[in-house]
Amino acid sequence: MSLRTVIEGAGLGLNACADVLGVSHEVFQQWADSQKEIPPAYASILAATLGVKPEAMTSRVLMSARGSARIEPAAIWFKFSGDQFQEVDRESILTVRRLGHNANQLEQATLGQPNKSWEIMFQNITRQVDLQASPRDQGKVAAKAFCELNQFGHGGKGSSEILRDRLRSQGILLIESPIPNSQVEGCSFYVGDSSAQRPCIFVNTYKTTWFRRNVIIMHELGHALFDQTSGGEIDVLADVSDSVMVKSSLTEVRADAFARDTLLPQKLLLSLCNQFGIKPTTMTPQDLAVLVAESGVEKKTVVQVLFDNALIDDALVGQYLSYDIAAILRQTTDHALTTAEYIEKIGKDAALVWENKRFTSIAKRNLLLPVPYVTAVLDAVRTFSVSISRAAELLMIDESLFFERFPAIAQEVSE
Amino acid sequence: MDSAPEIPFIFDSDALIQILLAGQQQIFSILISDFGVRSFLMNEVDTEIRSNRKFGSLVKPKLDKALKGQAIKLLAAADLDRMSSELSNAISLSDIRELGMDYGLDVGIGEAHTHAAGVLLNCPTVSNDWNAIRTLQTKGKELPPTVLRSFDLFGFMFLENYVGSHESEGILKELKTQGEWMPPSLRNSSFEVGIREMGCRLSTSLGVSASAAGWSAPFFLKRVDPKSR
Repeated sequence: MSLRTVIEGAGLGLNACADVLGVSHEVFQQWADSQKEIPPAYASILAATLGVKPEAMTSRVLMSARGSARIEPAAIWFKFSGDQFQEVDRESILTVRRLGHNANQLEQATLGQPNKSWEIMFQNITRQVDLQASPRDQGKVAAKAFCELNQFGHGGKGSSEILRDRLRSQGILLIESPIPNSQVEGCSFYVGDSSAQRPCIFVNTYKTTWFRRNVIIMHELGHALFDQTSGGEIDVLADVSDSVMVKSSLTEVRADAFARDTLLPQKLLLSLCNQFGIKPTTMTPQDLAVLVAESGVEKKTVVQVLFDNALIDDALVGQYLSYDIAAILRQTTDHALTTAEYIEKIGKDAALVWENKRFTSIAKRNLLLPVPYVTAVLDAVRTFSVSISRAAELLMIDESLFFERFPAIAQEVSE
Repeated sequence: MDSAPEIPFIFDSDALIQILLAGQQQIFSILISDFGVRSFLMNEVDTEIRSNRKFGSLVKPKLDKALKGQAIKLLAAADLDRMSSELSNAISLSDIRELGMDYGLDVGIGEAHTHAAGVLLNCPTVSNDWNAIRTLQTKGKELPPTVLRSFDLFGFMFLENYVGSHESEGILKELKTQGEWMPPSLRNSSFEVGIREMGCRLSTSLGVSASAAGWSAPFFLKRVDPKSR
């Protein structure tokens, strides 16, 4: 079995794999066809990215001799093999998985080991869940435990503003990046080699709002928490917590309940209603906008939570969903502004700080890297924890592009 | 005349690309014929050069030719067997790659494996990446006994009269045109003036080939045949 077979078995192309490693297509083709042996440094990155063991990349002869030459693609690629997924989806996930490997390596270089706080948190949460309870109850119990561990919903305030920092501080890789022309709205899977796996949550930001993404993030976290052995979960457009749609899949019901109860538990909903004098049965568009703005949760989910808690009936669900609150929301919170409006508000200089500095460049599918990750890489360069060439690898850009994007830092650490 | 042991120089991508861009592949043959220095590159560096988006296609034919003519070689197990006879412990490619993977957490793949080879084989490496060296130093990683820059080799060739003034200015001009890195002393001066100010780390000695203490200290080469120049 050649490397080509492993890659094609995962539904990927050779060029996509070459790009994600930053090597020429010609060189990679020689490796793929076993004309040249792939150097171990590249083999280990590719193995972690594809989700196979590094030995599978290099010990071809030995594997064949032992009669165990068949290398199955990692679970995530089975998930992405359906007709509804396209090349763009698989290639984007490949880049995300490379980022997962890079995040582990960055932490090893700067902290000595990858951050595995998430593992303890997950254990603490799942310990409290009765796996024989209904999926909805499982999600709710897990959400309560999560909120207690992460101080979510404290002080009668929504937690959407802090959720990204909280998850990342636990070592969970969270990536929000646009993939136009993709059906994927969000997905979760584990990345990194087997000794340093971590959950990765990916959200497609293309034509979505911050409020919807918050729900998707927590829904995917629910999957990461409960569905660790499934090899990953993918949610396509109009699939995540969509309106009051009835979901039949256990995993989806559980992830939905988890997302709703972490972002807008009943206690928080009632507290917000009290704070702002809102009566659920007589809400105006203004009232609904306040609940959305204060909780950081999209309109559909807010209405769903009101309904789930028997605060409104079917008729009001339809009425509230018909409210157009976009204009009111824009006046209430910056998160509802369009990019152009936001830039106008904060000023061009502030807006340009990160402009064109976070996209990867080595692969066909460019990924928008999280600000904290890019910042961590740049800090590591400043303190000589990683070199510029290594930083370029970690940011998945050419070294020359590093000098173009970050000239001040490059000058600071150059001879 | 005593038969001097072979001295390996391990080349990193950035330095090798500059040599190839400047068309100075003759350096490799001069080093081996006159000084017993064999030039090597790691497989990882070969990959980096061929994958370099800016210069890969430009330098690939020259690299192929140099490799085919064995002016420079991919470091192989047979080379290590030969070199290991001079070392107290035998060094394998796996040893180098293991250390390379460790260094590779902190610096780029090419330089990680280049310096790992230099450390284990106790031989000079040729790399322009001061930032990577400083990073490895900061992380407490061992460095090769000497790290040369491509301009140490260009300067050596000039100072030892292998290349003339006109050709040397051409090297400088070509690398400036390509927007390549060069030592500060050469950025705004002629090659002849700048190279003397730079402090060339490669020189000749009537005694044995050796390096002084510290990776940036000069490395001295002894001519295989003292009458050769």
